[in-house]
Amino acid sequence: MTRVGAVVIAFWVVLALGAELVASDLPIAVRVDGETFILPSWSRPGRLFDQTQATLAPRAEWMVGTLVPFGPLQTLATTGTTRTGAPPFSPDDRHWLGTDDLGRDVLARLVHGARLTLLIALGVVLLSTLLGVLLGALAGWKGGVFDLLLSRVLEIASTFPTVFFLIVVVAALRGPSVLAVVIVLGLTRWPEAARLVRSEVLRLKNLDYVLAARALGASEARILLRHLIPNALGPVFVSSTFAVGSAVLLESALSFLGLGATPPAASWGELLQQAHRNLITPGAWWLAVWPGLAIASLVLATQAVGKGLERRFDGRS
Amino acid sequence: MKRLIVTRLLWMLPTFLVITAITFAVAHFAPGDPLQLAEEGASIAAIEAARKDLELDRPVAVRYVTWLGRLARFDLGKSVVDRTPVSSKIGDALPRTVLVSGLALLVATITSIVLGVFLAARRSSWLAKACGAALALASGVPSFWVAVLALLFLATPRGFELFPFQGLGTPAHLVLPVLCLAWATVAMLTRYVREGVSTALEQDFVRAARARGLNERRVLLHHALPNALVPVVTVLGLHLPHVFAGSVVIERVFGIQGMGLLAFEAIGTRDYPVVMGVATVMAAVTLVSMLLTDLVAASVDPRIRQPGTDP
Repeated sequence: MTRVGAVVIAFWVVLALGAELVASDLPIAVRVDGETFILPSWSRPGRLFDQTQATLAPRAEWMVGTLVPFGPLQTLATTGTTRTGAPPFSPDDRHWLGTDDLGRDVLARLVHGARLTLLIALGVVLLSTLLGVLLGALAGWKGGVFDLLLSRVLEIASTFPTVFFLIVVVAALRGPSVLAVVIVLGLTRWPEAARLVRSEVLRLKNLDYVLAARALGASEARILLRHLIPNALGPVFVSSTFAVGSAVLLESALSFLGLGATPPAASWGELLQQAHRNLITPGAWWLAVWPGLAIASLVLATQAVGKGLERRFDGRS
Repeated sequence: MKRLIVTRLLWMLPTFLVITAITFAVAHFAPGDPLQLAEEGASIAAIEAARKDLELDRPVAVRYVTWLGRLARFDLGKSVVDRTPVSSKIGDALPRTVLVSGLALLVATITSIVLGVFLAARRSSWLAKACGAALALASGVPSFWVAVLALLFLATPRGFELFPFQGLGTPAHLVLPVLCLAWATVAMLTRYVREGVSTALEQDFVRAARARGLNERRVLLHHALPNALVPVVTVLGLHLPHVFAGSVVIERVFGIQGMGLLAFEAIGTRDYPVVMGVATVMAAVTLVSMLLTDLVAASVDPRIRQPGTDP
């Protein structure tokens, strides 16, 4: 299961990194009018303004297209649909996963949404882990007043009504912001890492090798950063793997509420919001099913990998 | 027990103050003025008068202290938009949120205990294994996705129109929101119950109970389960903030006019007193419910009741 999970995570990470190579309005490489463009979707050359793979294909000398020839923001006007009626369109051989109510390709948005979702989740976990490790290690090492203070702050942080606080932040910023989500979640989700590191440091600091380091004249900062923290990271590593999964869940819930990613940018939660908006009249099941499957696959994959790591670390100690 | 309650209550106060102070500061260090949106085109004098009326002309720290003073009298100020008291708006919304979250918690707790005991008692049966796998899957599935799918297939003309689509009114309105909100809690809690009961089943007092000839049912329900429940209550307490957070999403999906939707509507109009009031009340509700779970944990576990002994 661990291996399957790792493959699923790698799949989404690769897809998120190379989103433009999989789904884009512009091709991967094209030679048109005697000029060669490589990865025009990154550089956005002015010469190709207003062009899509569909309009380039007949004129190009040669062209390496993307698997999905649509960009995440490309609407009905430029996708060149042959369907009649109003979108959302159900899946067909052009739009494999269907389109949303603006005629945007769901697969393209799903692939590009992976980037924002993963970026937010990783940002949250990095920030909260860093904060937790530093504060937890300091509390365990210094003890005394610092430790007491930390345990109080921990208590407050873990009762903090994050979602309602984020509503206040969004109201104050006059709109949702990805950075705000990362900072607020990062600042409220560090207690777990702090607890783990603190108890590890408490266990380690009385061991002989720390005494040896001290006898060699190592400074306190050096002992803490070079000797204690690296050895205390094992359990944190496991818990932050699980934390990526719950950050993905949280991010998608917040974007679903309109507190995270700002439209038209795609994120998985934002795609589900589209689904909710389109529930009543057209009953567009494809809008709801795919992003949910994507979220579930990534969360379950992180849980599987987390469990695998947990077993490995348990076996070692 | 009395000492525990008093210390807990004393710790709640600074926690509450820190949470509200941070929220208050963020809401008021925001750029711009909430009145600009509400009173576009009004004369400067009128805006100034309104600012004075809402006390926006005073420093943040002073306003926070006066706000706290009023809070002690359950006065949360007036809405910037329609000038109705925030407390009356919250008075309308809070019961709905508490009803949905409370029912969801109740359903989730009962389901988790029944399911967890079953899974622990019949560990090797294929049904228990299948249930365990399903639970592991369920924990990775976001509840709001379940909610959207449930609406799609059980409440729209596309699927079966078994349940009403939006709002709250009849008991039928409650079924989907409560089940969807309970979803995440069941997925998490059942595993704790199962772990707890399986661990208890391997311990000496259970062997002793069996040796005395008690039947398996009595061993399970009267000996193993009560011992498994203490950590379960603690976990439930820690999980409560997530339930209230989840209720925001569920309210949005099912169009329930609770605290979540109230706060959302207030974002659009930059109605800080309402946003602030909702955040404050939810912080208080969270703290009080965590206190309650602490007390329940203490009442079922004598070791917590007498601090000083090793738990």
